[in-house]
Amino acid sequence: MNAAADDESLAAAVLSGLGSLSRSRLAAVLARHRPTDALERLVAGAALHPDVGLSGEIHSRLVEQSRAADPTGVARRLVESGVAVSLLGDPTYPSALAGDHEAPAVLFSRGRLDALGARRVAVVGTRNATAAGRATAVELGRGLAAAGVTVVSGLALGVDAAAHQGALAAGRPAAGTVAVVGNGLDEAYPRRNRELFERLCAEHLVLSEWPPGTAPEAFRFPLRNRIIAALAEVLVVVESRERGGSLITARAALDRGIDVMVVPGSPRTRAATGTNQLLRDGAAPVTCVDDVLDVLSITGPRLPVAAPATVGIDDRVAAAVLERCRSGPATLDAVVLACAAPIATVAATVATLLATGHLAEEAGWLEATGSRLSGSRHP
Amino acid sequence: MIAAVRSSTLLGARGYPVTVEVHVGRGLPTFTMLGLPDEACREARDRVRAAVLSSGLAWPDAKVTVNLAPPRHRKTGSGLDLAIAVGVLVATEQIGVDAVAGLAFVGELGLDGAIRDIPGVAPMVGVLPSDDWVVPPGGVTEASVATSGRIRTADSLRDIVEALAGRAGWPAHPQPMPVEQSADTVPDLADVRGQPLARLALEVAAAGGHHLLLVGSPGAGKTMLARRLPGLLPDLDPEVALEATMVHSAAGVALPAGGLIRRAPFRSPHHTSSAGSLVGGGSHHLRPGEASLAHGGVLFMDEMGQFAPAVLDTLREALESGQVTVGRVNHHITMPARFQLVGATNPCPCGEGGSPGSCECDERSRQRYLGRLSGPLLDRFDLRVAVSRPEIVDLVDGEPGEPSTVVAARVARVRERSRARSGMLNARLEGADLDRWAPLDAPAAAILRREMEAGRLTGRGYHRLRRTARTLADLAALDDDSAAETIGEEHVVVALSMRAVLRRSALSGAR
Repeated sequence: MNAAADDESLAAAVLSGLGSLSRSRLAAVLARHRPTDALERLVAGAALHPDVGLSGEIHSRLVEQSRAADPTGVARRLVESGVAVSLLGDPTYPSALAGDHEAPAVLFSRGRLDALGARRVAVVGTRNATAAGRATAVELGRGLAAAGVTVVSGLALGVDAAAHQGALAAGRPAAGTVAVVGNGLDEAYPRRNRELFERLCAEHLVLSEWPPGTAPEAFRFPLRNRIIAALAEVLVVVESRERGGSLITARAALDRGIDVMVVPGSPRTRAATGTNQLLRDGAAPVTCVDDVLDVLSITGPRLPVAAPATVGIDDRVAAAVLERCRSGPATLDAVVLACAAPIATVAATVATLLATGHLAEEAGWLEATGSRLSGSRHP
Repeated sequence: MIAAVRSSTLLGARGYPVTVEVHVGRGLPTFTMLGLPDEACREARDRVRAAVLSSGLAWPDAKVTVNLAPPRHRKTGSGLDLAIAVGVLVATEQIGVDAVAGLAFVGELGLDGAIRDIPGVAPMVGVLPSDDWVVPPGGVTEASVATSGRIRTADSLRDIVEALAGRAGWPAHPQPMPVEQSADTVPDLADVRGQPLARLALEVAAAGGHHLLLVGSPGAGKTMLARRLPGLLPDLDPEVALEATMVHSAAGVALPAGGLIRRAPFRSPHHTSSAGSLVGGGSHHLRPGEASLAHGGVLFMDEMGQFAPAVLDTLREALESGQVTVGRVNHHITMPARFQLVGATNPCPCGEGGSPGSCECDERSRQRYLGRLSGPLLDRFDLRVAVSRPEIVDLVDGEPGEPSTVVAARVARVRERSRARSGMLNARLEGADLDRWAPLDAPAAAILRREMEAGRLTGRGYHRLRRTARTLADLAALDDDSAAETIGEEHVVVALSMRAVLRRSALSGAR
């Protein structure tokens, strides 16, 4: 791979992996030095440009770390996992990100960088999503991708993965979906999304500002969120708790003057407390895909509206069960009370609805699977 | 001169007869005790001497030897004080030999000659039922439960000597009245609002004798529900009532007014309990543990996963055989411990119970949390019911549920029904008995086959489910004389819901 053969790229990758070189320090170093130059100086113990502003202690730690670094290993990893390196200012560096005030100085990627040439909407949310939240994310991802919009998200469990999956389901290769992750691109994280990760690498795009071999540590995710925000023209938050990572993304988007839109949730659902807070603070609500497309002024071909899901059950108890489960996850106890029917009847009805797929069950909690977020508000 | 006075000592929850032999003869004035007394027992030497002198009686200026026969059992506690004192008084001819014939004595002595209460009067008295007994004032009620012989008591050694010498009558003591113990001290099921499934589970547990695991978030009312189970259980059989009374007496736990425990006990050991406190033990004094105190009733273990695994494992013997055995170097002690186990646990470390969108725990941490309950113990729970926090509306506006008395009546009828059918409670049905007494009709069998094929039901789970369904069918048949003896679809479906918490969740991983 040409990227690894390139000395500057390799030096940039080695610098990215130095423990004491935070992303802002990395940017400061690379603003004054070419990567090979910076790395050579550090290994030699020589001083960097005074404008870089590294303290003596940081400098000596960096000297130590750069001497311990293994450029051959880094090169091998880059080649083995097929990771490309783009330096801020290079022609290959995505223009969508280049203008950002916190743009990563070194960007690692797997896949097609041209996916970032299309219109871009970020769809993010909590890992602890409800079934309804995940379904909404799938529909948003699908509807946006169908309209030719690239869906940006973070490959986390829950809403993020659902948004990627929705975009993949649209089946339009022209539009893409981009994942920005907080670890090295040689390993899938979380492990459960491994298949999704591999597919995104092969057909779409996965980005990271960390070199291969970087472990997913908690502090990297908020940093990752700023890249998601910077890439988006519109940020849609599907579900978030009162202190979710998605709120960090929303904050980063607001700092950049990027529209933040929010899918409203029930005030009784904990997964919607953060998103509803954003709504109260003035974010625009998303009730259908068109709400987002309108903000992007996209009027082109849209996904045909799915026919409203018919329950196909006229049974009174079944209707009551579904009604209760639509308003949020419910236990069988709550469903029995809501239906005012004997336990045996309700239990049998629930069993039937689970078998037909109208209900989903997780750890004893029942949720209605059908989402009411249609593709469009214009039939 | 020699005297022999009858008494008894306590080991675990049982009394053992002891003959206190006292020899007063020539030699240096000393006091020697033989026959394996423990520390508290050996101290009797000084208590007895002081009590005798304080009561205005003479202490022999001679060598006093006390032998506690048979010597192979260890004698514990201070209950032999009175018998030793009486023995010395007989041996020194201050009391006539005839006066103590057919009489046995237990009680601790104060230095002033007062007779003090001791734990375990009931089992100690029960071991010599043909004798008349002299017991401490606080032990009269329980002694009268354990023996048909006459019970005497007095406040002091002086009074006893006067009565034995015929100079005064035995002090009167109120004859214990057989008091009907009412159920109103047990909280009522009517207090539970909402939670229909948990209520039904409690009823099924009571009717079939099934062990019950309540899985729910903090504040879901697991403890509240468990406390209401004894109120649904019938009064204890006379035999079990006596055993329970013996255990309570031996442990020094307060007995009800009538002396006899008729209502199912409720015991709730803390999750920091040691194995000894659960099954009984203690180096000096083998005291019955919580498992035995719950005999005939309910053992409630809140935060079950927080008990030390070794402590939980000690319960397995009790669950299998209905008794516990505590081994010591020179003896084993067996105590009754046939209880209904109610466990409670949070579903996950954060307590939100896996509620989508609220729970912070991933599958693995949930699995690890519930994995603390060992598989073999978990297997004992026929019922594993998810308990959720009731909705506020139900708490405030909800109709009060059925009162305990109504449910208890149904429970009693189902228990009769199952005893008449198979001679046992449904929870004890195993293997061939289960096939014989809990046949499934075709649709019910089909549902279970489907669950097993889908990997949601294990072989053991299948048996548990059939036992629960048997009890559900029995409850349903109470109002319907034409009901078939076979178990129908609706019972199986409800039984499946009562293990809903296991489906595709951590517990299935923990087997």
